[in-house]
Amino acid sequence: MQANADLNNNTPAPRKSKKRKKKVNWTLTSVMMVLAIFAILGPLYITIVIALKDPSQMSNVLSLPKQIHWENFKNAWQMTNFPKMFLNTLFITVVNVIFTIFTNSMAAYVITRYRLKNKFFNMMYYYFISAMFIPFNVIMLPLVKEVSAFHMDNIIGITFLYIVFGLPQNIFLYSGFVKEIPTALEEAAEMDGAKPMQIFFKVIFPLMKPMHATVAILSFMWTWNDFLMPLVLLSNPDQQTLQLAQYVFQGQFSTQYNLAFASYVLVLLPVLIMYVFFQKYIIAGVTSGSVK
Amino acid sequence: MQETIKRKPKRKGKKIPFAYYMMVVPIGILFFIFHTIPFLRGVFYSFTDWSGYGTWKFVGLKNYLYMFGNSNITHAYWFTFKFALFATILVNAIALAIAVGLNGKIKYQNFLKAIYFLPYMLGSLIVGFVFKFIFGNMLPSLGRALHWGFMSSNILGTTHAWVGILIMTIWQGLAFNTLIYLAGLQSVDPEIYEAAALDGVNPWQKFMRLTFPLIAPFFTINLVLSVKGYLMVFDQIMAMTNGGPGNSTTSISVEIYTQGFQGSQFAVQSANAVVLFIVVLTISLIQLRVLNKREERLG
Amino acid sequence: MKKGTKLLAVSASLIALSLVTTACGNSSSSKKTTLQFFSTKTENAPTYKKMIASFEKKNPDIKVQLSSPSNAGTVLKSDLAKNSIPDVMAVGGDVNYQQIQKAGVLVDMSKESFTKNTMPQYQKMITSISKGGKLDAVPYATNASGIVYNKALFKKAGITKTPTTWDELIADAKTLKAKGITPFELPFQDSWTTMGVFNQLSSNMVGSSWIKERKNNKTTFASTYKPVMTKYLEISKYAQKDYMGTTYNDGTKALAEGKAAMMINGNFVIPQAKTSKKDVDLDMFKLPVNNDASKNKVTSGIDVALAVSKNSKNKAAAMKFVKFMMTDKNAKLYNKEQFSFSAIKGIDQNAASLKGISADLAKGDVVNYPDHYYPDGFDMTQVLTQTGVNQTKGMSDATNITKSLKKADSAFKSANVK
Repeated sequence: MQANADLNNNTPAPRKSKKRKKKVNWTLTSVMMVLAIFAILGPLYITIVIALKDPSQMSNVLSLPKQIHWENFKNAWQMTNFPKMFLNTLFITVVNVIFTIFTNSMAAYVITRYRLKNKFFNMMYYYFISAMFIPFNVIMLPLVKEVSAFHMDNIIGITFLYIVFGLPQNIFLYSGFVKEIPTALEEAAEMDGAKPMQIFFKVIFPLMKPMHATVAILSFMWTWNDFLMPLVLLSNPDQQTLQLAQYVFQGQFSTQYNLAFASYVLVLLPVLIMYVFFQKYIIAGVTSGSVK
Repeated sequence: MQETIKRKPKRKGKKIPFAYYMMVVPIGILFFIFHTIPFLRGVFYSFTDWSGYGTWKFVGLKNYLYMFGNSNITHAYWFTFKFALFATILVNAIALAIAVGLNGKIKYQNFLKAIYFLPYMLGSLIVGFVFKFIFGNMLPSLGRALHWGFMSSNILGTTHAWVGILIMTIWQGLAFNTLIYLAGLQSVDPEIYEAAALDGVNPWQKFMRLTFPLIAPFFTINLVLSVKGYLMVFDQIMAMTNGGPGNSTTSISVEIYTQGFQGSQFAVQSANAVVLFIVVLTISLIQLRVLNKREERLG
Repeated sequence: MKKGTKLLAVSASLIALSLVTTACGNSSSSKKTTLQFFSTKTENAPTYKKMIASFEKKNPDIKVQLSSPSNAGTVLKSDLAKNSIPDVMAVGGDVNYQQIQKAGVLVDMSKESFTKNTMPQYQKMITSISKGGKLDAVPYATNASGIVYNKALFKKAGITKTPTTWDELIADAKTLKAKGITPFELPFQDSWTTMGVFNQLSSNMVGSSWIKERKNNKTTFASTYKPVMTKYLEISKYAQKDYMGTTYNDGTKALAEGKAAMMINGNFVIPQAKTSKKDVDLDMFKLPVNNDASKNKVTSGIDVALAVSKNSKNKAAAMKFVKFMMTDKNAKLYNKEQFSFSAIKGIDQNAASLKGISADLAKGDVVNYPDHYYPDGFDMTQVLTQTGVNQTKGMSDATNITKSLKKADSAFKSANVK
């Protein structure tokens, strides 16, 4: 497993292979290129093209639009109450990411550092790790009951649940990372009379940065694209997320496929834009989050 | 690891400051309230006849026995296992092939990698809607124009509807698995290949004997995550078929959702959720054990 | 490092933005009463939106939020499980109403002034499926099943008179087919449309007391429903090729565009079809199930009934909204736009497209939908879509019918718990 060192830094392509890349295999390059264009980009191309057309241009679905109908986006924007749903989703995502990073890393740090010395923390570690085997679907029905009793079937409530439910996985991720941090720094800070909280936030927290990035990306992807939890927990039409709104409005689009696809593009666009800018970090983050 | 061992005697007996407990215990309690309690309550309900409201009594294992006699629920298990099996095998085989391709001496490697990873970013519900359109409108009209009988009808309205869902799942699932395999392949020291080249082995042998054992840990990760994920399949089914036609594409998760909120089935579906949990746990543990053993052997 | 700070700055500004905007959103709406209005139908959303707009204009302190998800039944059930049902609900007189009514979370409507203006036979359709015979929802609009047909295509095929017996119907279907016209457009990809056919056959061929016997296990689907299934399968033989893969939306579009001559469903097909082609000439006639024309009846039921949550914090506003919807003006608007029949006395449906059946409805010569009496959790559409798939796969009718009815019986058994 010496590979891990390589994977944890932000340049996944190892230096070693660079010098061997003198002779380019063009056949392979073109095969991979053609496959990427048709298989991966094809459905996305279809989505965008349909979103830009009007029904009269739909006889050949694949053709480029002769005339671009931006008003599809305007109509879809209004029909699905996009701004409200977007802000709801943004709120859940951003608040979740920030709170997850602070609270989960703190818990993970303490548990990892003291679990070998203290039975209680060791128990906590195994408690959280075993909770990873309980999928959301298993607790869904009783959770719905409990959440409604606490009046948490709204945006704030679901955000809170995301922060809590992310714990098992994030403790798993952070603990692998914390193990690699030498204790010398904390010991020095402790000698200087720093309090536990100070030690964590001043010394350890900044060192965990690469793992924060990974956790942030994974939490973001989870909450932004999640459908099941909003579906069962959120009921007020004002308190829906983008994914849930897409499901709810499906029937109202009827055969207006152009409008429906324009609304899909609206939902996909923020993630696509983010991907274009942070692609390298996202890929590195997801890789290091999974390969331990 | 070495450091913890070194440190251990020095700190032995020292009390852990209260503040450290405060950094774990509150969130641990919240987790217990919102995750463990619902889980335990679900297990509890599965032994009652509670309909979600009103009175209840214990019924023992009745809900579990009922489950096995209910053809809809047994079919949901059969469908989910079939789906998870095919999805896991196909996604991993294709992803491995793409990863090998991306790891070859190709140009624009980073660009291509970014493209292949793109589907991971997209929500499965939306991707499901797009594929529903492709299967329901685009392909049939294309099939009719070309007079290809097999393509002229919507696959989602046939007994092969699950294949349509499978195709969409593969399209999306490839992204993640490819990335992990690529990370594995890139971690292999090229000098090993150089040594092998001298021995004159062919590419297939090279892959099976050299590469595959080296990336075995990555194979394990992918397999475990794939199986777990596909046993939970939900979003794309809700987007594409709603579980139909008939109940042919109703997965366990869809069954729990659609039936669980019906009064008469609340307790039964609680039992279903418990069985699902046991299934996921068992499969994950077996997989980890078997694959770890094989890794050891291969390594 | 630089990128890292950038990321941090971006996320910081994002959270600030989202916090500010959600905060603003909340403060502006907090002065208003917000009503949640849930509808189990998606196609009448535009009409509701019009009513909401004029209601909000009249009552500036009330805001109405419409929600009409595609899988409304399940969504409503999960709301019920959460104990947080919407303030106002527009539900069909079916299992969705039955479930919320049974939970005892609805306001009794029988004493309201607007209820007195509704026709007694439709009130009875509600009370007959209510626990304790209560009227916990006021009937608003009713629908009528039948065959919606494209007049131009009938003319083209030389059919001058709409069929009144089963044999005539099949003869006409044969004529249409011979002329290269698809007789029936069946959109069975959306499973609920199978009931559009099945209900009409069932209500005309099996007596209304049958369901009680079935619930007491004195009879079975297998012993009674063979003739119904035979006719069900015969119809699908004259359907478009990919009927299991066609969605309701695409099906109504095909009907409007003249790709098929008939669709067996309800009056609500007409407004839906007209969204694809405004000037299409559609009319309706009742599905002639029997060969004795006098025995054929229109299947009609409560399409929309309005209910108010007992636990609503804004009960007064909710009642106000229901009362507003029940006014003659709005009932007429609903009738006109949705081609439906009003449950309110004196609001007639005069649309030319419904000429073929409006007389029967005015006379009250109708039978209710059999599936409105099914136990909740019994999903006949699952059986019927399986039947369709079996047929497209080439299974013989005899095997298909036996298998389907066996499936129906076992599904009924597992749902029929008291």
